[in-house]
Amino acid sequence: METAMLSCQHLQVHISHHVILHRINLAVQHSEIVCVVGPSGCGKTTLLRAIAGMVPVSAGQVLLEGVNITRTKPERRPVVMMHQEALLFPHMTVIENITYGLKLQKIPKKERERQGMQMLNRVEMADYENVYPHALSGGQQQRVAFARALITKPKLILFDEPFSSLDPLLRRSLGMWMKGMLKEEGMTALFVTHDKEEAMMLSDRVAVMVEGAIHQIGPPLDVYQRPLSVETAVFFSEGMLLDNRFFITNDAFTITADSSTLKEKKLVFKGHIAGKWLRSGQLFYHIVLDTESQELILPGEATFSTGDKVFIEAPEQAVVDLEEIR
Amino acid sequence: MKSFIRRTMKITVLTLIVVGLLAPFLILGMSSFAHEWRWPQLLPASFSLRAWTVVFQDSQLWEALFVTAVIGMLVIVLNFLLGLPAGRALAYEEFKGKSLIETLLLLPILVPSLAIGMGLLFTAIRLGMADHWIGVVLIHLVPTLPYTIRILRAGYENIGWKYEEAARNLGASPFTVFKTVTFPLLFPSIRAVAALSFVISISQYVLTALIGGGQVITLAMIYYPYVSGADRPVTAAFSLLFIVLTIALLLMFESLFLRSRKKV
Repeated sequence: METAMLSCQHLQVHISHHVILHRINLAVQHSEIVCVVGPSGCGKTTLLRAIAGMVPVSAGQVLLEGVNITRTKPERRPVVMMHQEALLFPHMTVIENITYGLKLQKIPKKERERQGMQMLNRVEMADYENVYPHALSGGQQQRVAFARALITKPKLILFDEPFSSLDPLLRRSLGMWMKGMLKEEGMTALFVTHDKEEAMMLSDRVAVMVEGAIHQIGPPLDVYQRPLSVETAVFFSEGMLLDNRFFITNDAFTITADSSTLKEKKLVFKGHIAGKWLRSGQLFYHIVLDTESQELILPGEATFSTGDKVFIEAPEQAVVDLEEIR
Repeated sequence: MKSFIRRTMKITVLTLIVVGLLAPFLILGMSSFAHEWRWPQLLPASFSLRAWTVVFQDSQLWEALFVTAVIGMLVIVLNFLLGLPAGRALAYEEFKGKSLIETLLLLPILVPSLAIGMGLLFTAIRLGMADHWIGVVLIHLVPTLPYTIRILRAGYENIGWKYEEAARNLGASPFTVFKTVTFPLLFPSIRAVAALSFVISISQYVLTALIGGGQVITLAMIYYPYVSGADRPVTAAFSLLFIVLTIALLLMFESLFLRSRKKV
């Protein structure tokens, strides 16, 4: 197998005696987009900062194309990080911001500006060459920051929730646009987000991280449908957790109005409709179960009203025993 | 109608502010050239260059000007060398005893400088720095450094460490980060520090007299005797000289910065 672009081996980070990252093992292949997804405070950002060289690593190592960069200074790592804020330098114009990295590489001014303009065109910001960052909108700033990162031709781009300060609609479109650019350039990227829909949309593989440890890595739909641990089931997948051990994903459930149509070999739960709404042309029901004190959000074909008693059923083979897997 | 009243009020207030700021300088300027100016005359009855002649004929003036400027600039340099790292650490780092250090740094402003000066005089004598300009430069740090650190700390806090991190990420060494990102963003604070420490340094009398032991003659050393001499025109002329010195320094600083900006 060819060497991975990025490989974290038993990576550990302590910050003043607190273990932030527990022996992280993570490999990202060439031109692959991996999304680390987890609740806030789980150590996602620290992982990116450790890879970028901003936090000292206490044990383990970071390899980039097989080269150990664990002790390399941040400015010597061919890795660029993008943050929640665009962090464009406020005293420089858009073109000066974009060519900053090239200037550090001592590329002559003419060449710098040529590449900068080319990049500005690619991110559809050509008209803003001499504008200062404060005059740009949040989405435009992120695009310029993206161009500033891309122009240095890094081996790896790290994204720390780059869209979280944007409004939801822009967030999706900018995310898909950036993914398109990354794929076009054949760029390797490691995203970090707490938004699992965003993770599913952007990534080739997701890594679920809870409390400083990675619990599962795989293609997004696989991880969603076959969670291997309670943490993954609760955080990434959606479904019903029974006895903190058995898990049924939402897509196995159907809603029915009466129990007489129930067939054998099915699990049935009683509940009532707490609310409903339409989204992308699909009806969704918010169902509160009578017994399990759990709530589910399920799509439904039939029409129910709020307050209706309903049954939800799932085939027995849909039940996953998380403990057995472990 | 309402807007007319508002405009008139605005103009009146602005005029008052400008007059309030400029009037002292005008009066200083006039009295430095006044020959006879007694109450209740609104303007001097006659003018003369006597005060300025006295000032410029002082045998020690040129040397004092030179010594003052050199000491002032060294004080600025030392303030930056010590204040930049200290301000940065106080703004970005969390460590034990941080609030204690903050209080300690404030003390030189709170305790009368004469008391500190007396104590430091003995140290200076022991180190052989008394009666020497090096000692004077060092003692001028006492009334300047606390302000410097506070100003630079606030400046750093305003910028935040994230821009520095972004720059390093793009391949800049710590020194390049300072040159291309931190310094330009911090410039308002840096300018304030330069002006403030220079002004404080050139107007030190007690500390300079104490540590300099009368051997280090700065502008303040020849200025103060004239003040007690009650020769108003000469005092006024000296005061203006002080102001000119400060403005000259600020202009120099500004042009240096403009030139460095153009290169970028």
